Amino acid sequence: MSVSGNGIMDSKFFPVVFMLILTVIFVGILAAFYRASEKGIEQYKQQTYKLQILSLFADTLSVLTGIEKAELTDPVRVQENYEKYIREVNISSDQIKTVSSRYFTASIMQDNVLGYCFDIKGSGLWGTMRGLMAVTPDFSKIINFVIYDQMETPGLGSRVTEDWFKQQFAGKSLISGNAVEDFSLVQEDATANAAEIRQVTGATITSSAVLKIIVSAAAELRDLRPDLKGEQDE
Amino acid sequence: MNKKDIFITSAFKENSVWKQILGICSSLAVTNLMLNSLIMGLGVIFTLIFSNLTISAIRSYTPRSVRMMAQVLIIASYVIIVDIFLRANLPDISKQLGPYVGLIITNCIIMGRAEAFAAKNNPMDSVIDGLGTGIGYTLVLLCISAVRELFGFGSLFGWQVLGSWWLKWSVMVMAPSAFFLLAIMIWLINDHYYKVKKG
Repeated sequence: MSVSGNGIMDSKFFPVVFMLILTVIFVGILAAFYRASEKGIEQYKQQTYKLQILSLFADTLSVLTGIEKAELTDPVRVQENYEKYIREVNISSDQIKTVSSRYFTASIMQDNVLGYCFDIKGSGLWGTMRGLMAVTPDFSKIINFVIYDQMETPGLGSRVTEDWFKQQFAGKSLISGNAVEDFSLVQEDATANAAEIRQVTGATITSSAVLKIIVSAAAELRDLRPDLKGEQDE
Repeated sequence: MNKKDIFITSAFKENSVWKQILGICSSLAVTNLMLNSLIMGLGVIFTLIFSNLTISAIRSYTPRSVRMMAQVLIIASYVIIVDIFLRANLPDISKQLGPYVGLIITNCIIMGRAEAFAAKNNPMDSVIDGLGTGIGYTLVLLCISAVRELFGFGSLFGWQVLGSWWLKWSVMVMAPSAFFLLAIMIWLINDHYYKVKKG
């Protein structure tokens, strides 16, 4: 291989070396830029997450405190409201093993537990879907439910994040006695009864997956119930 | 060509949207709100300026066989920088723009300018060409979004211009309106242009 300027550029390895150097430079720049911005991105993620949890309890809190729902879920006051009304519940490591949920949070007002919120997940059509489910203190009813992370088909499966779909779960019975509620799907334009959920048209798999996530979380909650109750009494 | 001519040509005479019919996808997708269009336009201007500058600066060392690969790598890197910046500093807008920021990579305007201009001209001229092309593209986006936001939401840049008496045209918020408006815009401008040229 010649060492003269033009000689190196004529070499058949030059394009490979050129691309390699260029890639290293740009990957380096990107890595450095991402490192510098990581904190901001993470902060926003945390804030959105906290806002979602607050929104789930917003109706209940609004009734009890008399504060407008919009004020409770005001993005500017997320941290303040979260600290005021939401507590992360301590659960021993043994209990964590029994449930796949990542976080347990409870909405508490003047030492009264208004409900628990569980971070639940399961498989959708294209990947993992993550949701937050707020339930009453005795786990019998769903207060509110939301899917906050999903990779479903835009315009079809991803419609499970729309208001009409998630609002269907509010107030639904989850565990009655010792049995988990058996939800079933009906057409989007049909009228659903207490144990039915209107599915997203063209996204039966995603709709069923959402039900499966809720039902399997409920089965875990049913087993966990006495322990949590015990801790609550303390 | 002097620098002023380069700018005028790339921004108006050879405008990438209405003359070259490039970058149509994003012109249709992000033009329902003026703020989104402006941010998208700024992202494209940033990418165009820096990708043109880099591609032009290394043009004499770039082997012909891998030049397109190198261009895509450079363009993609700048687009990812825009994406990370938006996610960290303007998260709400980043969420609204959704996948379209990432799709700047595939915007034909940027690759087009890299191949047609930056790969053959000096860095300074390439920067001006990038700036001109980007501004031309942003102007088109802003024109379409001004009409769509005004009729669809009664506002401009989020400021309520029309009162509550205004019946919002929901068709303006939906994608088809962008097709009509873009087509009308291209028609009017080119019609005027050819009349001037003939005259």
